[in-house]
Amino acid sequence: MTQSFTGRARRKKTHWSVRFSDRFYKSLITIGGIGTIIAVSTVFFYLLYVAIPLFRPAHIDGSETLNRPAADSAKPLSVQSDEYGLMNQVLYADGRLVCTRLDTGALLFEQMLFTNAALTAFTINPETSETLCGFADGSLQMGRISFQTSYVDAKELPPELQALAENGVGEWNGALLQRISDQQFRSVKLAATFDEPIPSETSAAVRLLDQATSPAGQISVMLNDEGTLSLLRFTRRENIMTGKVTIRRSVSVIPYTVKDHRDPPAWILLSGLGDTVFAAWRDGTLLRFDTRDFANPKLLERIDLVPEPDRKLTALQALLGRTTLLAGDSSGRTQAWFPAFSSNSRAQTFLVASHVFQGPAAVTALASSSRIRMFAAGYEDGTVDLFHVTSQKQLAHLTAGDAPVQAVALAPKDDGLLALTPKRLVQWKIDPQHPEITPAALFTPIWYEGSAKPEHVWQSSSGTDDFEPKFGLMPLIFGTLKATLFSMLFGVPVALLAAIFTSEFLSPRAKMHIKPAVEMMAGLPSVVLGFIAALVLAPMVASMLTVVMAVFITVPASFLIGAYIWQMVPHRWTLPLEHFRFIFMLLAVPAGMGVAWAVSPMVEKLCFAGDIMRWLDGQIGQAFGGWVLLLLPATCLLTAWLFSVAVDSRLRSFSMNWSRPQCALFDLLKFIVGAAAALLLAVAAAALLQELGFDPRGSLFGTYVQRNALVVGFVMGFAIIPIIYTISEDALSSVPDHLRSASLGAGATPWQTAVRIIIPTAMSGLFSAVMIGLGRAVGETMIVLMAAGNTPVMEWNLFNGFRTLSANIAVELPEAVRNSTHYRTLFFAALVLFVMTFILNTIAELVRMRFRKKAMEL
Amino acid sequence: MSSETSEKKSATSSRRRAKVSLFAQGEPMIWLTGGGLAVALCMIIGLLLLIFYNGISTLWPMPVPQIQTVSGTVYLGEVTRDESFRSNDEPVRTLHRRLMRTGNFEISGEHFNWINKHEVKEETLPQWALVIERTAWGRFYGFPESFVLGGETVASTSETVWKAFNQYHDAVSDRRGKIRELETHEIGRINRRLENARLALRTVELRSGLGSPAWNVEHTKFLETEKGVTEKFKKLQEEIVQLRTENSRYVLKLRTAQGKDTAILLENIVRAYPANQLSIVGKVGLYFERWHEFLLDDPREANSEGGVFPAIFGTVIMTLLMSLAVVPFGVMAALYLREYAKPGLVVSAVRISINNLAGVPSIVFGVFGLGFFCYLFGASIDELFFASSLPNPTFGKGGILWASLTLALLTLPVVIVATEEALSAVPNSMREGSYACGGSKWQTIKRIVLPRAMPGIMTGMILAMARGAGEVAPLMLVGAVKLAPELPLDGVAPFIHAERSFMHLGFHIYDLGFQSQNSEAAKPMVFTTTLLLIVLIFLLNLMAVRLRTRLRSKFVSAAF
Repeated sequence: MTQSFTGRARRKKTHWSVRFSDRFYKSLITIGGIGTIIAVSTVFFYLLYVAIPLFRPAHIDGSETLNRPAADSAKPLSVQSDEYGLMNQVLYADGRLVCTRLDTGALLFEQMLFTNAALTAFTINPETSETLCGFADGSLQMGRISFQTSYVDAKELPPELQALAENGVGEWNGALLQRISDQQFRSVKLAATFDEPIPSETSAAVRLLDQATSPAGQISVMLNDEGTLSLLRFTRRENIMTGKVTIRRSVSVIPYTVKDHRDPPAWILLSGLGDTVFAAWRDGTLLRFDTRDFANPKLLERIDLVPEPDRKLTALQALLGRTTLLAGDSSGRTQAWFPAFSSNSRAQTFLVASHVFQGPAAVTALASSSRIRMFAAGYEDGTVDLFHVTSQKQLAHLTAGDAPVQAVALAPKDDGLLALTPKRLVQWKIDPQHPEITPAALFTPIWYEGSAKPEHVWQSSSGTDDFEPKFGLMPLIFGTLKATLFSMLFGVPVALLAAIFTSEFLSPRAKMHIKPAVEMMAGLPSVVLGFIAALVLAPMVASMLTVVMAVFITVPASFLIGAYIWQMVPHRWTLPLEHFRFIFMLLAVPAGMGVAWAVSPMVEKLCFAGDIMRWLDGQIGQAFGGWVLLLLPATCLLTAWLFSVAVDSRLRSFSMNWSRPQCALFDLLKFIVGAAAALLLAVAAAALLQELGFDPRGSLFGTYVQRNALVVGFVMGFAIIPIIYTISEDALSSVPDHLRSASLGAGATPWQTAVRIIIPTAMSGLFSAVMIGLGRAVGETMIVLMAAGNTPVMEWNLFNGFRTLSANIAVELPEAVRNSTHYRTLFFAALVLFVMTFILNTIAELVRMRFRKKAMEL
Repeated sequence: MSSETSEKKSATSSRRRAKVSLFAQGEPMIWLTGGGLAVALCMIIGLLLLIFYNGISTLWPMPVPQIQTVSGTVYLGEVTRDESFRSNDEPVRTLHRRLMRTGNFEISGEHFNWINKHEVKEETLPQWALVIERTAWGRFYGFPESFVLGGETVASTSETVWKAFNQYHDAVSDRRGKIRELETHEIGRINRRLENARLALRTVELRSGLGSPAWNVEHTKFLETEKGVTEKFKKLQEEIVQLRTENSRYVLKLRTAQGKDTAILLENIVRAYPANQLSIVGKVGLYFERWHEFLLDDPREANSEGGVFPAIFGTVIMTLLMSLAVVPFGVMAALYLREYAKPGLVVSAVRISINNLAGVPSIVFGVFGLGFFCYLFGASIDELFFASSLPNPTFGKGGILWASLTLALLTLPVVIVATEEALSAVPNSMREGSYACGGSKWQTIKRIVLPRAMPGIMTGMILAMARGAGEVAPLMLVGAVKLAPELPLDGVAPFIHAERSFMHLGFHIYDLGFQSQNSEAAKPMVFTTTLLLIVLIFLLNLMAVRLRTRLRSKFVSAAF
């Protein structure tokens, strides 16, 4: 131990508490810091986690083959299973109703439904379970074959059933019982009840039947053995005294003549609202009748569903909503047909084949889901396919055996699929996941029901159950791009010019006040801007549109004219005023606006036939005026460029010996000539374009909507100005001063220094400023939500609204059901936004870092 | 840097032959760049003036003119604005019209009327035109007819009626306040007791099953509570009825400008004043009374009248909760990145990513908050701790806690970046000095680095608060509502109700301006609310800017 100065022994060891706290805080901060960074990155991963299941394939649980109780040669008319997947029923053409358990395949019961006459036709509505049967003697019978669910208390049951485990299934009184909780059992029972037969006037056997619920009531269509196709309506009358129900039918015969057919049609179908009847033959011929007028059905069109001569129509089935027809043919192809207006006439609809699904062999059975636009197709080779119509996604390809599939059925909740072959009954547990979403469904045009061609549409929800959700993201992405483009078009030039002026020409004292003031505007809540845009600016712009349009030309012009006047003023006067030059520039803004106000009536009269709203609507006027206004900025830039290339250098050598006032005068003259040239050029080009028949209305211009892209562009431009301004001003100011000094010392004017030295050096900084502004504009929500009208249309029209990704999320997410396709699609939209802005920002950040390094080296 | 230097050089040096060409000075181009700044400034000034003027003037009492048109219709009300429009008939003319708030919705079915200027025959300022702000149906404009007290007319000239009104109105208002107090607080308390008892019963039911002995005990308890509560409820109800009956004795009878007679219960009148008689002192008094109401009262009439106190309160609490969450974690992350992590590719990648997150749209954070906090995290909490009240979600929906956490995530980059900047501004020499004196790393950070960086950290916090207070888009998804019946902080245990949804100034603006039924009447209120929000945010920003300039002048650092 060495002796210390104080005489006390020196402690060389660090006190334990110091060491402890050092370690403690090191681990705390490390864990906390890394944890925070991970937490932030969770945002991305969680969005991904929610969105990914959209693209997962359908989930199929292995097949379960149940041997059919008896090998049946009879044709199955209807196959159905109950909501809980406990049992199924098959109705055969001979009138036998067979009910089997789905877990064991055991026969529950078999019943001969009709004893008095032979069943010849049958139809059932899967939603209401209402059935209609036709018989060989021409009579009809209405009824109901349904699975009835009730709940039973455990105490009422025999002990062996009480011992069932949760979800266990047992038989009791002809019903199936399933334990759902400690005390409760669910009981499912198949019940078939029928009304009294309705006698017929003719004795011809009923061959085919179909029914639908029209707004006026139940309506049916019938084909009998004589080939008469008729429309039926039933009126039910109950005798109050006896309680006896008598059903009367009113009949309207649908006239049809088909030359080459001696046979009657093989299928008849009624549309969902009962307003259309389809009759189809095996060779593919289909007749479509309009039955809105019950008494006078009329033929709408005749079409060949299977034009190929070597193919036959083998199955026909209506899709959910019963507007789209699924037609399967002998080559294994299934086509979806629906009526749509043709693109050139809105007078009449025509059937179009929108989607084609190819299977391996002749289609023998079709079944459509009762919840979504999905269908199952059974083939002759014993395989079964599951398709979603809208997205054209093949969800599954399954094998039921090697014999032809006689019938397929989808469970009411779409969680099971049944296939019936002569020997076997096969069931699969299925989970379609999100069949309506494929990358193509999100980003490419999709053929939706009722439209004449594939389209980009976003329409996520509607009032009815059989609605086809349309999840095309393109209209939203388009809206986002439109908003971004127009706001950048306004915001970027203003912000960059302002930054250049602030950094290069503004006095330091003024800069000290002005820059923080503009920076502060970055903190302005966007809801405020949205409110101003929607409630103040939008009505104002609507009431003086021409003024607003003129302002975009007169205000820049007033700055230029101000500059030329400033040059004209003798130098000894302007020199002391140099510091206050900016005040005169400020004054030029109201001056330009005043000019716009003054000339707007004239502009409106000359360019827009006196009323711009009606002009935009296309009611009056010609294309000419719009073209002039549209082309003017372009021709101005063109003439400015031409002048700088062709005139300026010569002028400079000419003017070596001119005095300042002479130069100023000549400069003004040059400007006037240039402006006149630009105007003339615009007028000439506009006249030419009009002669060629182009009209800006319908593309860039169009019918005026109060909440439009012009207003949004202006306000959102205003919103991104502060951020672009701040970053680019910082970039310009951080160009080292010695570059400026060197340039000025070499004799360059401040303007030349700015343009040739400062701006090129700071270019990457300016670029990153613009990119960051772009990122802001892409994700901005409140302004577009309030001021853009939120209609998802794809139009470049400056005066129409749009809907952006961000606004769409804000509007729809609160109402989306958790984990539904809609919910996940919105998460996907958020992910798209996240990725878009992240990429933009990363580019900006990388460029900025490079610039910073470069600026340091200089 | 200004052009002055070079200008002077050329002007004074007579020996140099070469002059600076005027064309080389690019004056027009400089004016064009200056124009950019001028346009930006004009827009900023215009916007601020617009909001400031409208926000300030909304609550100022306006005169109430009576206008008679050529066709004989009479309007009485406050002038909202004048504007010009184009007539539809040929020839197209520019005409002027005036929007008048005529109120009396229950009689006329309209709150506002357009009056064409050229159809006006006569405009007067009637002395006894009363403006009546009511608890329902919007404003009423009319003339006092008589004052009825318990079925007897006690005054029948304008002046005496007005006197009687002033005499009794305060007492009636007090009673109304008392009724409200009873209805919201007292009855709320009993309801809460009943609800708690029900939840306790349900908890026992979930645990030991329906009909079990424990359940039976709890059930008896529940029945007892229910009985007690019902009795108390009856008593309160009686008290309220009594107050109501007393209040219903006071009736003000009025006549509209169109000559229709109507009676308004004094109880339904919030405020009444003879607008055309008010002296300047009276107007100023009324103005401040309205500001008082605006800042400290609850909204009424679908938020278009009354105050915004719950919104102010919600905004402040939410922002505070948010900064409680964001500051410790933000500072920790910055300390880790700057002081502990080994600088390298990973750290700079993380830094870039964090910078980028500041540019990710706020709505994306809202989507995340809804999915992760409300639906995933909140739903799990519900299942664990609030199973008795399921299927009604407690935490499994938007609420102030989730909103604060979402905004904390959103503002985290702001705090991290600001703190890092502040930390890097502390010169290394100071750290090394501390180490040389034997300080440990944590001691150095605690005693040397953090105090120096404190102003920067504060700046970051204030900037985060300013951003958080103004952000609306994510709040729409995670818990801001148009009308919250209860504040997130109150006198009922556990005092802070982190699961409650709340009102927010920014969302209030969106809702009022965009989704209000009577948007014309709501517009002035939006301006005032906007003014309030802007002032709040600008004060926060100003504080941050001040702190930053102080920090910058204290320690020279390379900004940008």
